[in-house]
Amino acid sequence: MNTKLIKKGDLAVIAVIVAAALIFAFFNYRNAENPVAVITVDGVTVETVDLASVKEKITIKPQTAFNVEIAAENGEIWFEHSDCEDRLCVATGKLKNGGDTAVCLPAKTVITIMGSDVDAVVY
Amino acid sequence: MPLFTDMKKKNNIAYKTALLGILCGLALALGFLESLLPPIPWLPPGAKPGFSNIITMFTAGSLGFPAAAAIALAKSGLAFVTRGATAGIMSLSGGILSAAAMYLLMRYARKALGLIGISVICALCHNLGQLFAAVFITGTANIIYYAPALAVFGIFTGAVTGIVLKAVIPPLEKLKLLLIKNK
Repeated sequence: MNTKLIKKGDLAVIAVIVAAALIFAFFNYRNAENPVAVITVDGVTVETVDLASVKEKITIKPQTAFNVEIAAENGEIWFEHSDCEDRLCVATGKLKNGGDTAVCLPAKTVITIMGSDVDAVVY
Repeated sequence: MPLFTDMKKKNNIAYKTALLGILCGLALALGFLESLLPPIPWLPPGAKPGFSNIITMFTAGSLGFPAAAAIALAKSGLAFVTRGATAGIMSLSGGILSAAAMYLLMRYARKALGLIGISVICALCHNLGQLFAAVFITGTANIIYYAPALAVFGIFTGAVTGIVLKAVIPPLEKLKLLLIKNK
């Protein structure tokens, strides 16, 4: 039983994965008209920021295990600083589109951009 | 000719342990090499190609699930010591789930799937394990927004893993025979 590098089944597997990813992306990554950033810490929503209404740069310091700073400006929101060990949250960069997500795992803090309720209108 | 020399028939614990030690070393070294790469745009920072899965897959195919799980455990142990508890948990959750997938697919799905298909599914299982761990840690399901990007990335890295595995099976098999000869 010599295993080949690629078989027909492989192509089917890849096709199913790509299709699933595309369908998920299509339904979730719409450009939100009124993007709202939701900040959760340990599963609890601690702050929602209507990004369109942010005129000047604001800084949010959620209550977490250590010092985490979130900043928002020009319809974007991002982790400005974190005292965690890897700072992957800061490296994620600025979020602005629906579905964009940044996570600081050690701080259990997640920022996700959601469309506001206006987006829920049936087309 | 079988793809892997079946180790189950050779009941030599010392031999298996030595081989597992070498494979562990290879996996850890590949994991370290990978950490030197810059972050990849469009993906959540921390997403990596998973080169060490080449070794874990070979181990799952030739030594079985416990050995593959031992490599995953060693990798997460190293992550825990060098990068902290969160990194350790993420490494372990992805590693164990993909090791289980590797073993089961290598054992039961080789008629239907080639090495590329198997390693793509294993790459996705790795991502899935990590996503579940991340959801568990943060208590927030929003992290699944990362899933599509990770899935597409996983197809590429999984395919690369499968191709490289095919290429390195002969030398790794030689390594095994060498150990037997010097026994």
